[in-house]
Amino acid sequence: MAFDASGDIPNEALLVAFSNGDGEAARVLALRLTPIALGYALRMLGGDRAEAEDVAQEAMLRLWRQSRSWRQGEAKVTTWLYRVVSNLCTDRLRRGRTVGIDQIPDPVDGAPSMETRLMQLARKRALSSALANLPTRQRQAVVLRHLEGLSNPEIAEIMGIGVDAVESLTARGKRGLATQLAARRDELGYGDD
Amino acid sequence: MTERRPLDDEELESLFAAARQSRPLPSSGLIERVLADSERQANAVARGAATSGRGVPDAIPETVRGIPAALGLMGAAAAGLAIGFFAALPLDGLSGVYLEVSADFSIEDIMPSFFDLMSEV
Repeated sequence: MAFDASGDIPNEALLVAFSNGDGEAARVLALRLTPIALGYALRMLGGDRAEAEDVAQEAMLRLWRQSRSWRQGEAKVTTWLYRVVSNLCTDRLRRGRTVGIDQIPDPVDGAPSMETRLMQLARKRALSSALANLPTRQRQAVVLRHLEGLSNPEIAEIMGIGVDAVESLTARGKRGLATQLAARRDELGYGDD
Repeated sequence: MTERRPLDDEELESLFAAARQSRPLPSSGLIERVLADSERQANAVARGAATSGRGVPDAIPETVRGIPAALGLMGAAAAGLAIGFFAALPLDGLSGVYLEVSADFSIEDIMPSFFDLMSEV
């Protein structure tokens, strides 16, 4: 199969092609899905890059193994991947592997002014720190909704709960973030009341 | 110390937006490891497929393992035939006991013997 226009080919079709021995399909899937797995794992693990890379690799390995028994139409590959990454991150968080905020790498942005870059860095670190203090399920719902941009039904499927529960977790998570970050208003450039 | 007002939705959204802008890219090492895993998996699947498509010599051991089961089945079938062939006489005696009827008829009156059937043909 030629993948010159691989952006048009659904992940599910690529996975079936891989299971039939198509190495090029694996390459496209790896380039497309590894960043998603890594980004989500980083946010769930508070920015621990080494742990997040381990999680992303393990999630992708499980995807390759799953390919033979993948049934098209049952679930989206990305939904399945988010679920696996969620479980792997939860396992690591239960084991108490966390990371200091100082380990979070600086963002690689375009070329904003130094002041803007410092503000963005401060905001990113503050958000990451506040997210790390949320209960795992609230963090998961907030990250999937507001950072990964998934819909509530998709999040419900990933987390194995109802849409109402997702909305509740997201709302509580956002309230928790808002309260935690109140003390850092000046630092984050939000001024005073 | 006065308590500060929690961030509102707009302020939170600007934080989320800043975080969304900087999706981390995987290192080339990670992509290489992921692709190496995919190759290992593909090779394992290919080996499995080759094993399942074996020739006649490879199938002999499994055939030999099936012989005892086949002999048992044949024995059971032979025993069933023998019981059906020779059981008429003992049943004749038992029928009076279990049915509590007088034995003024024999089992052949109800179920003709194999030999009678054969002689009618």
